[in-house]
Amino acid sequence: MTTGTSSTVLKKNSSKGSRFLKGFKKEYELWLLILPVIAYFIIFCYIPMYGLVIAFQDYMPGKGFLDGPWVGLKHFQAFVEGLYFHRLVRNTVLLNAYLLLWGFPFPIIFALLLNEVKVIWFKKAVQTISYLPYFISTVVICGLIKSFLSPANGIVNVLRESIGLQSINFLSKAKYFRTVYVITDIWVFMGWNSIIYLAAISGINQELYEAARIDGASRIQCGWYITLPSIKQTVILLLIMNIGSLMSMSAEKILLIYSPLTYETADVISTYVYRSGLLNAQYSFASATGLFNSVINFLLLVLANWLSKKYTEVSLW
Amino acid sequence: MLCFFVLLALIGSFSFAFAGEREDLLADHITLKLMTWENYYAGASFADNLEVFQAFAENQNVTLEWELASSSRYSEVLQTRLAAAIDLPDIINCAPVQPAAYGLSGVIIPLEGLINEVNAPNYTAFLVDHPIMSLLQTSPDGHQYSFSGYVGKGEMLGGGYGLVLRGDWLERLGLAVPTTTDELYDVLKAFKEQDANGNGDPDDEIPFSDGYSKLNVLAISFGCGYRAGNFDVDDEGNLYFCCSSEQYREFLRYVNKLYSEQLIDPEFATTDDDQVEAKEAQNIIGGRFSLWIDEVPFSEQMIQSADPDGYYAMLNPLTGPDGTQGVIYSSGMLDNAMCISKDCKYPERAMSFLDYSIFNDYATICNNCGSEHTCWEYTDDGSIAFTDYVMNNPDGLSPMEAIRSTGGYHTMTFVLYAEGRKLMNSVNDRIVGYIDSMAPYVVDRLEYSPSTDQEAARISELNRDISVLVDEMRLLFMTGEADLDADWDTYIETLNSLGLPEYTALYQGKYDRVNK
Amino acid sequence: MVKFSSKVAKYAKKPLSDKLLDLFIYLSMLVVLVCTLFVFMYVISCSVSDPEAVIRKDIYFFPKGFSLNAYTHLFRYGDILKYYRNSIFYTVTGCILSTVFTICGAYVLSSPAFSCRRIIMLFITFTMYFSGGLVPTFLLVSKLGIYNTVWALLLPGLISPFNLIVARTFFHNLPQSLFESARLDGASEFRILLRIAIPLSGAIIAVLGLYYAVAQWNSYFSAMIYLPNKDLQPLQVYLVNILITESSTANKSVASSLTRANSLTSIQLKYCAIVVTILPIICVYPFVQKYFVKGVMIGALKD
Repeated sequence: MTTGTSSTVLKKNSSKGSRFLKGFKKEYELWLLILPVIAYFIIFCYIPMYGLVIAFQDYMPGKGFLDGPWVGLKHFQAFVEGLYFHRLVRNTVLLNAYLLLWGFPFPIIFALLLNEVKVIWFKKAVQTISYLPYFISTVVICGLIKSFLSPANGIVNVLRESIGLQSINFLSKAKYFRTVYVITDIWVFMGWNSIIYLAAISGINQELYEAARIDGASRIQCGWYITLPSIKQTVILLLIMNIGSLMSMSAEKILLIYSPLTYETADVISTYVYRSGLLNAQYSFASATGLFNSVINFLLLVLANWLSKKYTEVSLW
Repeated sequence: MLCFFVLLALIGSFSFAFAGEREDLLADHITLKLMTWENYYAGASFADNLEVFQAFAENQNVTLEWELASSSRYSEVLQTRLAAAIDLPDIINCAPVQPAAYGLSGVIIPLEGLINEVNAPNYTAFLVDHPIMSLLQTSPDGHQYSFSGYVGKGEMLGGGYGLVLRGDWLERLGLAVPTTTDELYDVLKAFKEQDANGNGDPDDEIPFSDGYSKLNVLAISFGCGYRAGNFDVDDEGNLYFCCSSEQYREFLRYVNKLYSEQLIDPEFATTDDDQVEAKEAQNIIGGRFSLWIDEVPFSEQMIQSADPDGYYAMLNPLTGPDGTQGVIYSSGMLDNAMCISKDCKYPERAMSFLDYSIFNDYATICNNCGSEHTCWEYTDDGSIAFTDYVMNNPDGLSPMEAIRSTGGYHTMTFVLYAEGRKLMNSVNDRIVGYIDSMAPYVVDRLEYSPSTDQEAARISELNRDISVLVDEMRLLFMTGEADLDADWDTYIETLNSLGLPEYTALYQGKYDRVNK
Repeated sequence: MVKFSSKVAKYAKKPLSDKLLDLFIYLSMLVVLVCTLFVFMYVISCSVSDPEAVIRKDIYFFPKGFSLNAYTHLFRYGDILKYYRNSIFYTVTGCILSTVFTICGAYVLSSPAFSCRRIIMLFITFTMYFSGGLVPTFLLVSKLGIYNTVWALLLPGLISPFNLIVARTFFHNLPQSLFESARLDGASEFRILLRIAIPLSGAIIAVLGLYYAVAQWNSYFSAMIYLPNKDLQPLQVYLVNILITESSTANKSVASSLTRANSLTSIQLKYCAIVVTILPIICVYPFVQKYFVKGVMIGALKD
C-alpha cells in the first residue's frame, strides 16, 4: 500500500494553492462527466420552455409565440372561477392521495415478501409475471375491468349474487369509482413498481443478515430492522416524488372507464381539459391549467423535500 | 346576323382564351406535396402512387408526394406541423382544426382569389347549382381558407342509420314493427317480460342496449332534434338550445321510464361497441339504439353465432307522442377541408388539382368507386358497374378494401356519389331495401358559417362548462338520480348562469350569416 | 436423495413462526402470480382463439378453439421485419446512450466532491415540472436538423430526470470510503467511476437499462410526430396503424366485410399486437433480472 507515502507527500506539498488546484482538478473531471447531461437539459428542456408563455396569451396557432395578444392571467382566472374547479381539483387530489395511501405500500411489501422466497425458480417466475400487466395496453385492461364489473354477467357480480348479495352497477355509480381505479392500478403497476425496490434490496450487505442471525433475530425482525431501513432512501425518495405529482393525473385510463354518471368523482383536471380540446385546439387554456398544476406540484415537492431533509436526511437537494 | 356571328366569335374566343390559359397553366410539370392521414386500407399507402391518384396526376401534369400520419394521431401531428409553420406541404387536409385561425396567422392562404374559371372550372360550374358552398366556407373576414367536397344528403342516401330490433323476437312474440315511441315501449316491455329469445328463460333479455350518446336518435322523435351541434331552429329562424327545451324534458322522461323499468341496459353509460357485440353474440339483446344500415349484416353475424335464425329489423324513424315525425339528419354539406399552405410555390396549380380531383365528374366516380377498369366500368346506359375485383375479389378483399387499394374512398375530400355507395352495398339486398325505405326521411342539417376568432374562442370557453353540465344532467335525469320535476329548474338556471344566452346568440350569428 | 431428505429434516426443525411466515409468503406470492398471470394468459388466449369466442367474451384463461388467423392478418402487409429491426435499433442504441449518460450524471451528483450538486439537482428536477410543450420542441428538432432522422427518437428524452434521481440515490448508498481512498491514490474520476462504482452498481444499471429500453420499445408518439419516413418508423407505429385501419368502425359496413372470418378477426388484432410487443421483452428479461433478483436468503443456514 502506497497510501502512507503518498499522503505524506501530499501533506508536504500542500499549500492552499495546490490543494485548491487538486480540488479543482477533481471537480473539473466531474464537470466533464456531467457536461453532456447538463447540455441535454439546457437544449431539450430549457430552450423550449418559452412555450409556457402561451398560458398568458390568447395564443393563435401559427403565429409566433411572442406575438400573440397578451391576456395575463385570464385563462388561470377562467379555470379557477369555473363552476367545476373545486370538483376537478378535489377529484384529482383525492384520487392521487388514495393511490398514495393504498398503492404506494404494495410494491414495497411485495418486494420484501418476494425477497424472502427461497425457491429461486418460483421467485424468478413470480417476479417476471408480476410486471406483465404493465405491458398490456390500457384499452385491453379497461375492457377487462368493464367485463368483470358488468352487472349482467361480470364475475364480481356473479360472485355477489351467489352469496346472496345484490349485483351492483359499479361503473355507473360515482361512489365506487375511486375504489375501482385504485384497485386496478395496484393490479397493473405493483409488479413493475416493485422492480426498483428489489434492486435496492439486492444491494444489501449479506453480512448484516448473518450477524443478525447469529444474534438470534427472527426473520421478521431481520426484515424490519435490516431490509426496510436499507431501502429507506429509495422509499422516501419515491414518496417525495409522488407527493410532487399530487395534481397530475393521467386521463388515459379514466377516459375509458368513466361516464357523465361518475363525473362527480371521476372527472379530473386532465379529463376536463381533454374534452375541451376536442372542439377546438385550446392551446392557451390547456397550457394555463398545465402550468397551474405544475406550480402547485412543484411547491408540494419543495415542501416534501424540506420536511424530508429535516426529519430523515434524505432529500433531493 | 352579323351581330350573331360577332357574338359567336367573341364567345368562341373567350373559351378559346380560357382553354388557352388552361393549357398554359398545366404546361409545366411540377411536384405537389399533399398531407392527409393514411389510407384506411393498410395494404396500400397513398405514398405508393395508387391508380386513382396516378390518373389525377397525369391529367394535371404533376408528380404527387405525400406526407401521411395515422388517423388516430393526425390531429396532433397536423397541429404541430401547422404551429411550427416551416416547410409545409402544398396541400393540407385541415379537417381536425379550424382553418380560419391558421388563415389569419398566414399559415394557409386565402383561396377566393384562386377560384376562377381558369384554375377551377369544375368548381365554378358546381357553384352555380350550390351557391351555399361559398357561404359555408367564407369566414367573416371575407376570405375563404378551405376547400371542401360536397356531401349533403349523400351519405344518408347511400347509407343511413336507425333503430334496430330483433325481427325474429318480434315474430316469436307476435308483435308488429313499432312505428311510434309508445309502440316501442310496448315491444320492449314484451321483450323484457316474456321469453323473447326462446331459450326458456324469460329473465335474461336486455331489451335495448348501446352507448348513451346514440339515444339522440330517439330524441328527434320528440322534437328536440340536435339538428346541428346542440341547436335546432324554430319556424321564425331562431335557434333554440335543444337540451334546455321542454321537448327534451319529455324525451328524458321517456328514457327514464324505460330505464326504471329495466328496458334499457343498465350499463348504457359506459358500454362500448365491444361489450354490445359480446351481448349480441350471447343472444340477449333485443335491439340497439342506433345502427348504421350497412353495419347490420355485421351485427347479425354476431347474433347468428348464437342463434342462426336471428336477424335485425330496421325501424324507420319513429313518431313521437305528440305526432312529431322523426327524421334522419344529413351529416352536413361539407366534409374535410383542404387548404393550401403559405409554402406552396404554385398556388394556381394546387387549386387546379383540387378542383379537378374533387369536382370533376370523372374524378368523382373514381373517388367513390376506385380506378376505372380495375374497379368499375361504364355500362351502356351511362351508369357504372363494379368489376369482379370489387365484388368478388380473388384475394378475399372486401369491396371497400378493393376500392381503397386503388386509392378510392380516400381520406381527403370529394363529392359523395350516393348511387355508387348503394351499389357497393348491393351485395346485400335487404340493405339496399332499408336504404331506400329510409330515403324519404332524410333532411338537411343546419349549416353555420365559419366563426370569427372571437366567436370561436368564446364558444370554446362557454362550451367547456356547458357541456359538462348538459352531459352530466342528461344521464342523471335518464337514470333517475336527478328528478325531472324537482331539479329541472335548477338545471335551467345553472345553464343560464354558465352563459347559455350568449352561447345561443353566438351560434345565431353564425346561422344568420348563411341562411339569411 | 440424501440431500433432499436432509433439507426436509432441516426444514422440519424450524420454529413454527418461521413456517407460518413461509406459508403466508408463498400463498400471497401465489395470489399475485395467479392474478397477473391471468391477464397475460387472457391476452394470449384471445389472440389464438376462435374469433367468435373472443367476441362473446367467453375467454377466461385458456383459449377456446384455435385460430392463427389474426396473426396472419397482422402480418399480411409484409415488411414487419423492417419495423422490428428499427425498433431493436432504437431500443438498443437509446438504452445504451441513455444509461451511459444517466450513470455519469448520477455518479457526479452523488459525489460529495461536486460542489454544485444541489443546484444542478434543482436545475434538473425543475424540468420534470415545467415544459414548453410539443410545438417548441418540434421547432427545436426541426432547427437542429434532426427531424425525420433517427436522432429525433434518440435525443429528445435521452435522459429522464426521474431515472437520474433514482440512480443518484443508489450511488449515494455506495461506500464513499472506497472512492475516497482511490482519490487519495491519485485515481481520476473516470477511473473511479469505471473501475469501482460501476462494478458495484449492477442492480441500478440493470434497472436503468430496463426502464430506458422499455420506454423506447413502447414509444410511438414521438415517431408519429417526428418520423414521416416509413423506413425509419418503429414497430409500434406499424401496429397502431394496423389496429386503426383494421379495427375501425368503418370496417363493419357490409361493403367492408366480406367473409365472416375476415371481419371477425379484426377484433383479435389488438391482442395479437400486445403479444407481438411483449414476447421479445419476456425473452430478453431473464438476462436483466439476474442483476437484481439475487438469491438473498434471510435466515438460511450455512450448509
